[in-house]
Parts: sequence; structure tokens; C-alpha cells
Amino acid sequence: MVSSAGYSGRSPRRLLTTTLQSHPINVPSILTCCPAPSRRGAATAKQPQRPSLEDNLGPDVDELLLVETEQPDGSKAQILYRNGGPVVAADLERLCTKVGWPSRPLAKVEAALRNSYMVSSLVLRVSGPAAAASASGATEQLIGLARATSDHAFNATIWDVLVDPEFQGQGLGKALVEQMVRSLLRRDISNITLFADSKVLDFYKQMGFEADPEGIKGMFWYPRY
Amino acid sequence: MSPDKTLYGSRLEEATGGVLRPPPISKPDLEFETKLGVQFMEGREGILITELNDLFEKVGFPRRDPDRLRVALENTYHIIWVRSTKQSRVARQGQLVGFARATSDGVLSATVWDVAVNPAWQRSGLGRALMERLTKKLVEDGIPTITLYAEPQVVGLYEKLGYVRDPEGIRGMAFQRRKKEKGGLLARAA
Repeated sequence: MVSSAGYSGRSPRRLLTTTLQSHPINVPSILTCCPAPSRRGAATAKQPQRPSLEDNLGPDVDELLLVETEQPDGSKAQILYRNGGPVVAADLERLCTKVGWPSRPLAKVEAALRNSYMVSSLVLRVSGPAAAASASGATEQLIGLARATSDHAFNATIWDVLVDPEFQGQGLGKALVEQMVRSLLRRDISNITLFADSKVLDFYKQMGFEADPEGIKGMFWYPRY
Repeated sequence: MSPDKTLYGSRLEEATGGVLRPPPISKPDLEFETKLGVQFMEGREGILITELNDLFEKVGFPRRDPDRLRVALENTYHIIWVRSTKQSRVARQGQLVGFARATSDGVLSATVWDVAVNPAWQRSGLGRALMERLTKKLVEDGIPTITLYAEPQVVGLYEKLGYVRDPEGIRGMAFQRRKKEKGGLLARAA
């Protein structure tokens, strides 16, 4: 099921410049910020609450169209957020190499994907003349991923958030994490956590994550014996 | 987007020659059994949800919805708990007096949650013993990234067990919900 979140008419900046001449159709509002109207009264008006991802969870869909571009020859390129779709371990590792992460044994990556509670991906789907060579008439490429381990009830921890460098800088990483958080909230997971480098602290803060909430420290096992 | 965390895990593996050594068990099971009358159990079998909620309540965690707690235990990678082997002033025979669990993908990363020891048994080394055994299991399963969220007053305890806080500037973060449920990260932190 594909659902488009809405239209804002802003064109994606740097999209598919190599394969397709981009002709923007729409950029859904999740790439921009859409605070839901507050339902509270004067107290809120005095001290406006920051919009939260909780305000607008949206429909529970497996696939969401983020960006669509079309060009004169009729070829269509879509960037989709996908929940739970099969992700090939080798594709993920290719992406890891591209962003400069160390490679991990494929068997382990496969198991990690299989044993994750949620695997969310960004997929570039090209159809029409530009993909005529492929048997199905469309090609798909993994350009982003995030996964979460969870107890399926209370806690989830997000790992491996990455976006293909060729597609960075257009808000796709934000869209990916935001949609994933919404998906986790819809499944009633109350405690969504992650570990972030200092460089990406602000990236997560603007989405509603807090570092060291109530003084709680993130710790890693690092034996010194 | 953030390679450091993954790099950190791989550096850890390199530093240890690719083989992570599990933490030593400072006090054997037998000693706990003879001196304290408690025994270590693995897995969720035998855990009574109401007893687990009683334990949570005793250590200041909120009680959880029993059905959801059951689901959580079913989907927890590893559970270790402590039961009293004898009837005493502070526990009946078989009572759950300590608990710790970890969620994981089984291969790359794990997170420890809900470490709790009945106050009557605190300062007896049960907390340390639970964490040593849980960490040992995760390390032996080859999981290179073992994490937890620690309340400020127990950071020192975890440091003694080989955990480090904010390594290389990596910070723990939690999504702040509008509708605060009873028992956010604070209550669930180790």
C-alpha cells in the first residue's frame, strides 16, 4: 500500500541528477514540518509546545511515497519509505561501505536484520523507459536504512541509521527516522532510545529526542581486563 | 550518518583481537546458594508476572500491564533472575528476588533493561552477579555492542563491571513523549 502524506509543492534539490533529469511532482509534508494544531487552551498559548511526532502519527502503512520525480520520456523515480520490506544484507553492507562504516560479516548482518523488531528503509524506485532493461520494468535500490531492536512492548533501540551520501542533504534521513518513530509509537512502544555521536545530537534533538534524560547515562561495555 | 558508533564496536573487536572475553564471575553460584539461599535462573520460564511487578514496585519502578509485560518477556533476548531457595523472614521459597534482561538482535547489539534486586538482598552482590552473568552470556554469543542506560547513582557500579559512559562522546538519547507514561526511561533504566 502506498500512501502519499500530502503536497507542499517544494521541489527536491538534488535528486537523480545522474540518471534522470528531475521534474518534481511533489514533496510530501513530512519533509517539511507540520505542527498539528494544539488542542489545549491558554496555558499552551503562553508557552507554545514544540510540535511532536506524537501529534500526527498518520496511517499505519508499510510504504510511504516521499518524493516522486518524472521526466519527459515518462520515466518515473520515486523515493519510498518502507517498513518491514525485505532488505538484502549485501545491499546494506554496500551502503555501509559507501558511508565509510567498517564492513561486518554478511551472516551477522543478515541475522541482525532478521532479528530486528523493525527494519525501515529508503528505496529508490525507477520505472518506465529508464528501467526498460529490467525484467519487471522497474529497478529498486536501497538508499537508506534504520533498524530497531525491541521487546515488542515497552522499549525499542534504534541502530544503524544511514543514508546514501548521494542522497543526503534533502531531509531523507530526518524523514526516515521520523517515520520510524511514528511507526514505533503506533505500535505502542513507549520508550524509544538510541545512541548518538556528538555530531548528530542536534539532528535527533530536533525530532524530539533528548540526551541523558533525567541524568541517565548511555553506557557501553568496554572491558579493560 | 554516524559512523562512530559502529566504528567503536569494530575498534573494540580489533583491540581484543576479534575475540571478546567475557567478564569474570567474581562469586560462583554455589556461594550464593549456600550463603544467601538464592539461585540463578535463565529464561522466562517460572517467572510469575505478579511477582516481577512486586519486585519492580519494591525498587521504585512502576508496575507494568501484565499482558504487555508477558509480551516483553517473550521478546527479550536473554533473561536472568534470582529465586530464593528457602523460606525465610523476607521471602517465601521460590520467590523472585532479582531480575535483569536484555533485548538484542542476537549478533550485533544488545541493550540491558530492568535490573532489579529486592531491597532485602541489596548489598549482597546480587546486582553485580546478575550483570556479570548477563554480560557474560551476551559476550559469549558474540555480540560486540552491549549497552545500557544507567541512572546517575549506579553509573559507578556499571563502571566497575567494565561499562563506560559516553564513550568517544556517544550519548544515550530517548524520545520524549508528550503523554508521559508512568515509567519512562528513568524507571526502566538499569
